Amino acid sequence: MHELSLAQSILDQVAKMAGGRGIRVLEIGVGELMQVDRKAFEQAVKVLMSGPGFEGAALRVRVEKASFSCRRCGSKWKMADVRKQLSGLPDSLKVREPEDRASPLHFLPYLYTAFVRCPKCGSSDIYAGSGKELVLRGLILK
Amino acid sequence: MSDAAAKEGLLLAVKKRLDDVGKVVMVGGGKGGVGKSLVACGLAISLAKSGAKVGVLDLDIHGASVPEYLGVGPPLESDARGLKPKRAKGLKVMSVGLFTGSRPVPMRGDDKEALVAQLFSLTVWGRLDYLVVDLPPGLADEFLTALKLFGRKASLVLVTTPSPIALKVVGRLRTLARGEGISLRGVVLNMSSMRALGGVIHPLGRADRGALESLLEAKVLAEVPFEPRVGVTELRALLRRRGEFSDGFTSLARTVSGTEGNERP
Repeated sequence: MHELSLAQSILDQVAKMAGGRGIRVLEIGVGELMQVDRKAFEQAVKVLMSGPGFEGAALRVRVEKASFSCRRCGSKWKMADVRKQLSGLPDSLKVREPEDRASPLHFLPYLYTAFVRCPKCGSSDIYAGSGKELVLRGLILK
Repeated sequence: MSDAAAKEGLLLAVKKRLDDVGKVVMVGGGKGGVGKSLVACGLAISLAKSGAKVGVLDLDIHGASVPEYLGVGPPLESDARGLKPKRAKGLKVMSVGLFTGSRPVPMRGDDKEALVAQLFSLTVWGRLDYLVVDLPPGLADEFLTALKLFGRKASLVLVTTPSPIALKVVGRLRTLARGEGISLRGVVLNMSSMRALGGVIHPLGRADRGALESLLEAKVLAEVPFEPRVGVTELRALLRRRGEFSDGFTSLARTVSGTEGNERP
């Protein structure tokens, strides 16, 4: 739901980097752990790109896979295991959105250690090597 | 572009949000158990009493207690602009504890800077006269991140008890703050005394105010006596009662909102 605020934050960064020059291509990576609705995010970025400087700019948004590893037992796993664990999250900890309820990780992906455990040994001493952030991956100026 | 680009984006979002904040008051003491969260919350309540718009940001990721002191809890709400802070009778509150409830939050240092930046920048604070930041014990990631994010608008209130051990630890924090160019407001001497057996006792020792000010090169802004009802009775209710406890916070808020007692390292 906060796709609009995410879009705004990335475009603020783009505007700063462009320094007044027009944008030709914009590439954004969205971490899978953020559980962002890619279409909604893309739409939000396009709406905000309707202003000056973005005329004719091409937008590419890709979801970047999350990967996890356990510091205790060395096991590795993907987002599918995390989704299973998050499905058991009590409603009381989900963030109320106007039309839905979202996992806390939608807002604070770096908080994953509070909600995800190693599927093999159960340890919370885990590490997400990728897929936890919103990042400007490419910017080509006119 | 790399992870550095992601961090750059977060820092930009923090800067934008910080434009709407008048002053940032960081409350820290280095040592655990000296009453940093109590002082942060008591200060916020006392500042808001005078009509100021006050936000409280709890940076104690592993031991969040601000929600308990201010009587708020999960769930949070959001809209298209971001997260709505919890409202606690005039205060706006954000804490990791509002996401995690009673769950433990184990976390290594690598991710904390981004977490703190997200927690602050995703919150729709609106215009604030004061953002009171409750710092965790220690001088690790959360503390250093707070200095980095809020340094340009921040001043520091140190909290200690009269215990010689607490004084030693807070002295280290004082030295670090000076090195980092953070403006020091002064010191709150917490749990300085308590009423018992028909008199006043000093269970954690008796600190000489002058010696303390000389040691920390900072003014004592307030002395707050030990209040056994903290944690049992709502903090706001305790601060409504007349007495040394509420007087301490009133005095602290007056100093923070004015210029008296400000010292730059």
